Amino acid sequence: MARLSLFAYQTGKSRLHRIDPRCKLLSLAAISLTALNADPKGLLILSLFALSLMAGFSLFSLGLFSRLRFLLLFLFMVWIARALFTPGHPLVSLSFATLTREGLLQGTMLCWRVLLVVLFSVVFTATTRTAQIREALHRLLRPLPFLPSKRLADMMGLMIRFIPVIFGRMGEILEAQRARAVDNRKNPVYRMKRLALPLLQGLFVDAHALSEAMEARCYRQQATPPPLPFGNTDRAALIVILILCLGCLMV
Amino acid sequence: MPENGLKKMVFASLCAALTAAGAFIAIPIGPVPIVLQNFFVLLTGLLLGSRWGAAGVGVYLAAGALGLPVFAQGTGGIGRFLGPTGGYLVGYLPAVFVIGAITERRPGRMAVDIFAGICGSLVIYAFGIAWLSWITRMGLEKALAVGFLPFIIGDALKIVAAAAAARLLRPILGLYTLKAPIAPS
Repeated sequence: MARLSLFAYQTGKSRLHRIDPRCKLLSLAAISLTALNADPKGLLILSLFALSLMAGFSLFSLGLFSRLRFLLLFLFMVWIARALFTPGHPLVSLSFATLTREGLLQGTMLCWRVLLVVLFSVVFTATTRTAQIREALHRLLRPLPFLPSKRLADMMGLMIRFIPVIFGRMGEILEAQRARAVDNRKNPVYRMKRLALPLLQGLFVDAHALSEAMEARCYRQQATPPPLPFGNTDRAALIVILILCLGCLMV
Repeated sequence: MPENGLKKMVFASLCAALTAAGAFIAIPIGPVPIVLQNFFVLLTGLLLGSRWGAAGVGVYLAAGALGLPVFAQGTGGIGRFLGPTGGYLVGYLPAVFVIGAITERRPGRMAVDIFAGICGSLVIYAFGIAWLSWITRMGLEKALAVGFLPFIIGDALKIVAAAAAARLLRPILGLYTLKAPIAPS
């Protein structure tokens, strides 16, 4: 079930759900920029923040990690590749590559950063409706001249929703492959073909079904947008996040 | 909205999402990493044509500029356009337009698709290398050596793969052939 995946919206009435989506979107952008630039101390603070957010709003569960497993597996592969193929002080020499200290460090940092960005994205998409994301994007893009901001916001909202569907489908296909012992094949071209083609095919069929569903529900760009009241709580939350991000970059 | 407009809009969004997913899978070598991004840019152009292809890539770039983590290795932000790899990103837009424009003339011909892919890749590298050599102050030869030569074989594979994938996916899209066999999902 690709749609019941990690990034899906979870209904609720928590404070995170009620915070203005613009505030959440800007915070997400600020946090991901911070996560990609901070040093280990800043990353540690951000990680604690992410964990407390997820614990505080009960988004945090064992189920989360089982749903994250494809991503974790993928990050592990990135980590190995980084550790083996980065030049530097050799720790262990293999015939085809060397495990270096620099590579190990760099790989760990990179995976940590990506994992943080993903966790915050999970928090964002789990608590924000697609219509709200779209409207938030629309309001943020409106001041820019010469851009069809409604169309752009619609497409961007769809894109944000498609990314988890892609990873969900990929996970399904990988499991189906394993069930059919495709991963025992040595030929990488064969394996890529058996992964990429069903993946793309399935995704375009999904997109086709989505467009028909939208058409059946009389999708128009001029739909009444959901109200987005930007209150004092939102302002305060945004300021706190920005201070936190600056703090993480400074330490 | 025109009859096919909604469908193309959804497909263009899917292509943007695929490009973003492809950017996650990056193998770092030198200043310019190997990514699957440009494979999906090629595929976008081949599948959606010039206008909607450009819309899809434009959405992807705009999402990145807003700071969403969609560029290589989960980065984002307007700063990436000014970094050493910014030229490649900017080049995606004219490239997808060129690919779409070529493939629209003779849809469904493998040779035409491959030719379109080659033209598009050259456009991407023209922008990318010009920007790389200007921003890092390395000479054109050095820029070619780090920003083009290591990728030729990979890109040739990507072009062929994109043309083959486009051939398979076009019937599903039902954009060029009207008799679209839609598999049950």
